[in-house]
Amino acid sequence: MADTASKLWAIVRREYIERVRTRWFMISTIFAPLLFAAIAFLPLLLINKDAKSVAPRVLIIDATQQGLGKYVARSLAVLRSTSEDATTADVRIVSPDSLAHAREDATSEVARRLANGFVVLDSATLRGDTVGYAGRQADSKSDRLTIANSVRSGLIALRLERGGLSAPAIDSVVSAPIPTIQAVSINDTGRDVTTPAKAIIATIVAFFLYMSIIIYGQNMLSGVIEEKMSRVSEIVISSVKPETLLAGKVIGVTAVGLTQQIVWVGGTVLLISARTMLFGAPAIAKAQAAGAAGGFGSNDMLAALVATPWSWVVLVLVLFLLGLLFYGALYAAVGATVGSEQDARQAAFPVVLLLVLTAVLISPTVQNPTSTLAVTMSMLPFSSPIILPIRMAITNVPTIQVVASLAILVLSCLGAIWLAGRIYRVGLLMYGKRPTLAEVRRWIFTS
Amino acid sequence: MTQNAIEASHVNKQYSGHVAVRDLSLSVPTGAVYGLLGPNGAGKTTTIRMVLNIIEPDSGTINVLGAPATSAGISDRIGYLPEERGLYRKMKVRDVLKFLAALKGVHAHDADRRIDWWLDKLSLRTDERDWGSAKIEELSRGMQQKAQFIGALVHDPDLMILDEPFSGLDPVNAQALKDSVMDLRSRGKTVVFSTHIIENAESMCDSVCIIAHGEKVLDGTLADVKTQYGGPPVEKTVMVQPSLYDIFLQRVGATGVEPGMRGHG
Ligand SMILES: Nc1ncnc2c1ncn2[C@@H]1O[C@H](COP(=O)(O)OP(=O)(O)O)[C@@H](O)[C@H]1O
Ligand SMILES: [Mg+2]
Repeated sequence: MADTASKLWAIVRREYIERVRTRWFMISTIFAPLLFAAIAFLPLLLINKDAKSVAPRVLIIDATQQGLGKYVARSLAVLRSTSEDATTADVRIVSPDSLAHAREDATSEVARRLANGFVVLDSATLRGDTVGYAGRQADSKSDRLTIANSVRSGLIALRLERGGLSAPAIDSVVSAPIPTIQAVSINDTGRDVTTPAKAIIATIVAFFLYMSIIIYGQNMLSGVIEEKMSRVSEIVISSVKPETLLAGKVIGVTAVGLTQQIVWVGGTVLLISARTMLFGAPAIAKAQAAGAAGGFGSNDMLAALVATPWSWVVLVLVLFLLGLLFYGALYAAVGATVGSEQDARQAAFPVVLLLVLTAVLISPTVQNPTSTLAVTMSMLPFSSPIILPIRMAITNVPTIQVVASLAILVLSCLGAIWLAGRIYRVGLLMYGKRPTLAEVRRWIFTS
Repeated sequence: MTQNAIEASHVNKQYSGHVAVRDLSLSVPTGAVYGLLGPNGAGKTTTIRMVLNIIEPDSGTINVLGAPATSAGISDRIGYLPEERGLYRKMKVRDVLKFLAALKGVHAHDADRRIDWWLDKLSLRTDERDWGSAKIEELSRGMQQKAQFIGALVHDPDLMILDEPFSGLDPVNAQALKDSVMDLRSRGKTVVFSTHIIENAESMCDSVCIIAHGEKVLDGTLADVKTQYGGPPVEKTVMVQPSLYDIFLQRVGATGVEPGMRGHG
C-alpha cells in the first residue's frame, strides 16, 4: 500500500541520515580503502626505498682466482631486477688463504647492517658442488634460489670465457632477461585462477564483512534500545505497525552498510587505478619484475586485486546486504527485549556467538574451501554471507550451491524479520525486567 | 455529527494472568473534551493504547472515527501524546517533527509550514533564537514537552489523545496546554485525556469516564454525572482568599511563554 510505503520510507530515511551523518561513519568509510591500498602498494613502496638505499646488499667473496665473482654479481643484478647501472653486489677478490679473514669481516658487516649477506665462491663452487651463503634471512627460499641461479649463470659465463667467447657476447648471455610467468593452474573443472594472493584478499574481505556486520548489528541494537528507552517507539508505533518500524530500521541500517561497502570497493578500485600516477611507471614495472622473480610475493596482491572479477564483488555485496538484514533483524529483536545497555550485552550473546563462530571458520575455509565444514557453513544463513565469498574467491563453487545458499539466506531473512517483528510488537512496550525465554516464545507464538 | 469519535464495547485486556481492563464500554462524543479519570494503575494507559491499536484487546470491539481501531489510515487522523515522553535526543527539533509528520502522511512541504506555525505559536521560534534548529537534548524540559505536543498535532488530527498531559508541567505550561485543548475543541476536534488529577478534569471536560481496577465506575456528560451521582445540589456560600494557584498565574502570567526562554530552563 502506497501509504505504508511512504511511512516505511520516512523511517528508512531517518535511520539512514542519522547514521551517515556521524563522524564515526565518515572516518571508517575513508579509512578502509586506504588500508586496502596500503597493503596492495606495500611492495611499490619497498621497491622505491630499495632503489635509494646505498649499502650494497650482497657481498660476494670470490676466492676462485678465476673471476667468477663478477659474473655472479652481474647475474644477481639481473635476477634481482635492480636497474642495470647499480650493481648492488660488491665483489671482493681474495686468496684462498685469507678467505677465513674475509668471511669474518663480511659477517661483522652484515651484523652492523652494512650488507644483507654474503656469498662465498671457492674451488668447490667452481666444481659446481657448493656455494656458501650467509646473511639475514638465510633460510629464505627465494633468496637461496636466486643465489644458486646466479652462481650457475656465473659458471656458465666462466666456461664460455674459457671457450673463447668475447666479453660482450658473454655479458649478453648473463644479462638475458627473465620473463614474467603468466601462470594458469588447472583443476578438476578446468582452468583455475587461484593464487595465494587471492586467499589473502578473500580473508581480508571476509574479515571486513565480519567487522561490518558486528558493528552495524551493535549499532542497530543501541538504536533500538535508545528508541525504546526514550519512549519514542511508542509514538512511532501509534502511527505505523511495529513490523513496519522494524523493517524500516533494518533496511535503513543495511543501506548505511551498503553505502560504506560501495565506497570501500569504489575507493579501492580508484586508488589502484591511480597507482601509476602515484608511484610512476618505473616503480610499478620494477615491482612487477621483482614479483616475477619471486622476490616479493605480496606484489601478487595487486595483480590479484586488479584481476578480481566484478561478478564476485557484486555477489559479495548482495551477500553482505542479506547478512546485514538477517543480523539486523536479530539484533533489533534482542534490543526490543531488553531494558538497558547493560542487559543488552548479555542478551545479545547468542547472536554474537554465531558471528564469532563464523569468524573462527574463516581461516579453515581459506585452507580447505571444499571441506564438508566449509560447504555446510556456506549454506547456513548465519555464516554464509562471510564464508561463501571466501569459497567463491579461491575455488569453483558449483552454481547449485551458490543458488541454494542465496535461497536459504533470503528465506532466513524473511523469517528473522517476521520473528523480530513479533518480538518487537510486545517488547517495545515492556519496560522494567527482562523477559524469560519462555515469555519471549509466548510473544512470538501467540497473537 | 451523531457518530461518536470513540465507541468501545466490552473490552478486556489481560497481562500474564492479571487483568488490566475488564469489560469496559465507553463512548466519546465527537467534538467533546473527554476525561478518562482514575487512580494510578486503573487501566487508563492500557485503554488508550488499545484505542490507538498499539495493543490489541483480548476481546471486545473498538471503533474510532467511524471505523474499527485496527483499520488502516485511521491513525493518520489521531494525535497522541504518550504518558512517557521522549524524542530522539540527538536529532534537531524540526527534523524530529518532520519525521513525526511524515509518519502521519503529511507531505514535507506542508509539514515545514505547519511546524513553523506551531514553533511560533509556542514561542519556540523567536526573534532571538530558532529552537527548531537546536537538538532535542539542548532544549529545556518544558521546551521538550512543547516540541512533543507539536509532534502530536502537527498533522491537525480530528482526534487528540493525551495520556496524563499535565504530569511534569509547571502551571504556566499547564495553562498553555489547557488553552490549546480548548482551542482544538472550538475547531470541532475531539480531545481525550487521561488524568489522575480530578480538578483538571472538572474545569475542562464535557464528559468523563471514571475507571478503577480496570473497570468502569461511571461515565457520562459532566452535568449528567453530577445530577445522577452527586445527589441534590447543595448551596454553599464560602468566602475564600484567592488560591496560591490563582496568585501564581496572576503574577507569573499565563501567556504560554515559558519564563527564562532565553537560556536553558
Ligand atoms: N506491558 C505491561 N505488562 C504487564 N502489565 C502491564 C503492562 N502495562 C500495564 N500493565 C498493568 O496493567 C494495569 C493497568 O496499567 P495502566 O493501564 O498503565 O494504568 P494507568 O495508566 O491507569 O495508570 C497495571 O496494573 C499495570 O501494572
Ligand atoms: Mg497510565
